Amino acid sequence: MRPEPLLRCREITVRFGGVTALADVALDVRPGSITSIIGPNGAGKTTLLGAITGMVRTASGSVALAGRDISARPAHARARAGIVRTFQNLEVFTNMTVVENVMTGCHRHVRYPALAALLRTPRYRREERRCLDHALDRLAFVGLGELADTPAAELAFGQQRALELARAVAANPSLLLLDEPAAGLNMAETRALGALIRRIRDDLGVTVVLVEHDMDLVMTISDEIMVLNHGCNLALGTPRQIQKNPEVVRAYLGDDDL
Amino acid sequence: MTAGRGAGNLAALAGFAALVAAAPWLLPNDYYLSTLILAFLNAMIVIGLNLLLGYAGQISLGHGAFYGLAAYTTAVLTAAHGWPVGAGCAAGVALTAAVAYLISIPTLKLAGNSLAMATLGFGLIVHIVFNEAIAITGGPSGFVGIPRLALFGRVFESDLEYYFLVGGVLVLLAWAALNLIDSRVGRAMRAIHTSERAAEAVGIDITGAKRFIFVLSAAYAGLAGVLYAHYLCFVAPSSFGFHFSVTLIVMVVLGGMASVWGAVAGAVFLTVLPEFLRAFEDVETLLYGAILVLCVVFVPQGIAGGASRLGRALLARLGAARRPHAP
Repeated sequence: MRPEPLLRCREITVRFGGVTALADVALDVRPGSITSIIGPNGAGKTTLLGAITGMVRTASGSVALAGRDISARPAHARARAGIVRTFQNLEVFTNMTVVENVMTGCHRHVRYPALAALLRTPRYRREERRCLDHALDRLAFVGLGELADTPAAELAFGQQRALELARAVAANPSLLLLDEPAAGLNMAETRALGALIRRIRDDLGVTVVLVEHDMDLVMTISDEIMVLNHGCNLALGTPRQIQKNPEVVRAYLGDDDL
Repeated sequence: MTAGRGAGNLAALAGFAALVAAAPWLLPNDYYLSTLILAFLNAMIVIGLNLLLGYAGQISLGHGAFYGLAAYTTAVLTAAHGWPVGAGCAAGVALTAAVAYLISIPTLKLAGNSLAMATLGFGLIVHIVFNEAIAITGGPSGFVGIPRLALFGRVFESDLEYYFLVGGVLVLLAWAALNLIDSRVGRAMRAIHTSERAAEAVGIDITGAKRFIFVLSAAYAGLAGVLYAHYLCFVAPSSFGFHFSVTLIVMVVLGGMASVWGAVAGAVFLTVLPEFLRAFEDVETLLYGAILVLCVVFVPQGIAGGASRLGRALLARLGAARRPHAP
């Protein structure tokens, strides 16, 4: 028997004006898996991430995390519930240092009232210390430990990508959604990214959903792949099954070999 | 040292406190003391406004009105209704914060510049009320007979006493602002400024964070307002108009966005500058404008940004000078 899915999306429909971006899309994500969403440009992959995180309004459908329906919750509440995402175009906080970026990621599990911050109470200092340690730990995890005090704006592109990952995992998410994390990375960097995503799953116990165009990366690290085409589910299966699926090959991969 | 701004902040605060304490003995006469008191009151408002504008990226065109609302509230309560000064001050600050909260409920849900528009309208309305509700506010000629500040049975009679009180409060407010900036709330503010999407994605309640910082910055203005009323013992609508709200924003920008010390520098500079320009009667306004233009052209990051760039340049030169001696 398959375990209860960590994320369960049913009949997700999203419309932008008269355009239907997603039509009755379903997605199950097993806990502890790396699940990839692939599809041609405009298939609705990023829109689906938006619908899951609450950043895109859905016309209908439901999103449930660990059996609890969260369809009605706003984006920040879903993040607090454990769904954290990264963005296709970098969204690093350029007005902060590297470590402050990651500490911002801790927002949902650093707890003290604002008054405690204004007055610098012992509780504030204790929690900030814990938050800093956690952030440094996560920075070391993605290999940016040496750059903690550098202004984030000064990092190279690949480093900003890693920083975004560190910020995301600093939130201790149960589900991490990555939107084209390999975009703009060279081959060596992409390979390192693949290893890092595996470690996020294996060492941190975070379930990962990956939207990605880089087929090498998708095929090597995914447990399961869901194919979207024109806003609809096209296929679902292991990398091997997807590569052999004639419909997928026709719709997405073209007639050439992979 | 990682995130070790705490120690640097404390050193800067101690330095500033020492400067504040020493200033009265460096000034030639008492007139300058009263100018400095007004400069410090402005600095309190500008620190709050900089939290909102410089850190969280939200514009308020109504901070002059918040300042005035608090001043008038304590003025009316203490002078006309016989409230103790301390209670009047508390009521002034509380009312200002409550009004800011009410304004934030409808406006912060909307995107774009709705806060700027709402606070602009609020400021104009408050100014009209100050002028027209003559029975309560005394109208355009102002409200007289406000008692001097008295706390715990102690009346702050002399300007020097008042100066130390205001200086002390300013140091405390700067300390609180610095603490806030290095906290989860402060990081949330700065995150919202750069990317609301990314802020949301890590679980920051954007509306809630904006509301908190707006109310807090209004409370800063309110605290300055009650201290103003009980210092001059006289308030008039002309001190709290739209022009003053804009001047406060100029102080933030000129001092340096996203810098507490920049806020203090900008407020003190722009409060003291007109006093010095008074000697040039005919071209006073012209000079004031010219100085502002020069500042924007030559130190676009404000006084704080310019100072830190200068500091870095000096350090670099120092390093370059030292290098040849290295083995």
